[in-house]
Amino acid sequence: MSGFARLHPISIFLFYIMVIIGTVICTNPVISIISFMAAIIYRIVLKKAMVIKEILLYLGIVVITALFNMILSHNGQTVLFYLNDNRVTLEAAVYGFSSGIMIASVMAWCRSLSQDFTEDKILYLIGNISSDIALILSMVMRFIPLYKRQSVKVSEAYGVINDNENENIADRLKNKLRVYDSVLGFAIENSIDTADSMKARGYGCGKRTMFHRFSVNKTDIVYIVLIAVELFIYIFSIKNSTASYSFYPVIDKINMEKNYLIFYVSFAVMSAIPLIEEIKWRIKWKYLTSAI
Amino acid sequence: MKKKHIQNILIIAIIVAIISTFAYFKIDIQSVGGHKKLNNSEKTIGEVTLSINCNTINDNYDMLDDKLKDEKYVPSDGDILKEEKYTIHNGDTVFDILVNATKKNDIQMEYSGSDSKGTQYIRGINYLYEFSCGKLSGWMYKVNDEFPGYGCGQYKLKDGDKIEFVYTCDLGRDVGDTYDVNRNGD
Repeated sequence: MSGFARLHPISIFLFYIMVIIGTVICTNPVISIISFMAAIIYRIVLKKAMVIKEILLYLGIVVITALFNMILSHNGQTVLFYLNDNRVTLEAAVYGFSSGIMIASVMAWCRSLSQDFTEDKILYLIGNISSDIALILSMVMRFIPLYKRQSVKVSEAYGVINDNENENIADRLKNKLRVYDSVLGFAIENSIDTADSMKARGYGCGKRTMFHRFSVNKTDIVYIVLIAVELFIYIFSIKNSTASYSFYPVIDKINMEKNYLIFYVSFAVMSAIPLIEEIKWRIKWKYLTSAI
Repeated sequence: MKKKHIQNILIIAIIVAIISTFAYFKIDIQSVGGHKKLNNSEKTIGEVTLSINCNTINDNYDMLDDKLKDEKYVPSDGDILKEEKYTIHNGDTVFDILVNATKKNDIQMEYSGSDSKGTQYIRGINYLYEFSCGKLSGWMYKVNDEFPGYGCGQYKLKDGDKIEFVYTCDLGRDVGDTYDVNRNGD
């Protein structure tokens, strides 16, 4: 469990909502880059070398978005070359690049969200409003790893039956389809089993209670206040048009005046919260083990 | 092992061949200097004139995007392209002439829609796009002082036609289009 995941579910939830929506709404490349860096560094600290494949995926997304925007948008003053009589411009490339970074950073945040925001936290947060919705949500979240595991099992079984050596792309596709078919069957059967089992244990008779160990600490309050301050600055900057940025027909200059700096720095501090918390826990752990 | 390899290489080779033939026939990359050459091989059937004007923006200057408030984008007399003569070939549409004119004078132009079906929509000329000057703004065209009311890729030209591309800030009402008045009369 990461240090950040030890916090109260409400502060974790608020943080991810704020950072993801804040990244998506703002087209300013500085915000996109800050968000991307914070997300990637947090992933690296958590997963170390395992994250290299993920980073390659994000870079691929950035390049593909930039290419698509170059092909599809012809606005912009700096012409690089002409493609089928249409301008391919530097501005379109930069815009595509910036929005690619934005998409990649949202993906990275969502990955760490799914790691930090576990089922018990979903149940805790939504269970008070509607236990049915909370149950469905947590079950849906569970299905993804469950089916992943099942498909690995099935394909291993097929691998025993088939001769893997002489496989070409067509054969492999056929095998993938067969695996998909049997996982689908498993999913339907599993859902009926679950329903029967829930009924047998008395689901739906009487009010349900829940056990949890979450409590609001001082750190939670500090972080919630920090997120609230950032939200205030963010809304103020959007109203003030400090947050606005446009790429066409010429790229805006990146402003480094006082109110712009406040906007950037507050977003950077806010998006560094999980990192700070993780490092704090590691130092604490080192201190505790050295005391033994 | 060998059979598998050969089959994989064959499949990849076929895919590469399809993509490269597509690229060869469909993609045409030109340098910044070399794009101005026009295709004049067919027989001409006459001459038309074309002009591009955005004078209505000068009347609604406060509604314009801040970044476009520049003599480069909105000339003070509104003329992005003064009336100029173009030869037409059999089957040329208003859109073809616009493409030729913007190519020849190096004016930025972006459109969306299909070339083969003739459903092009002019999104922007000279960095002035739809919605650049208020919610009701965009490009319209008239031929011989009348608004055809359909796509410029479908208007077949004849000798002596006078094409005008005009920027409207009020759904055509400020440049003299009367389609809504006519509708009400129906």
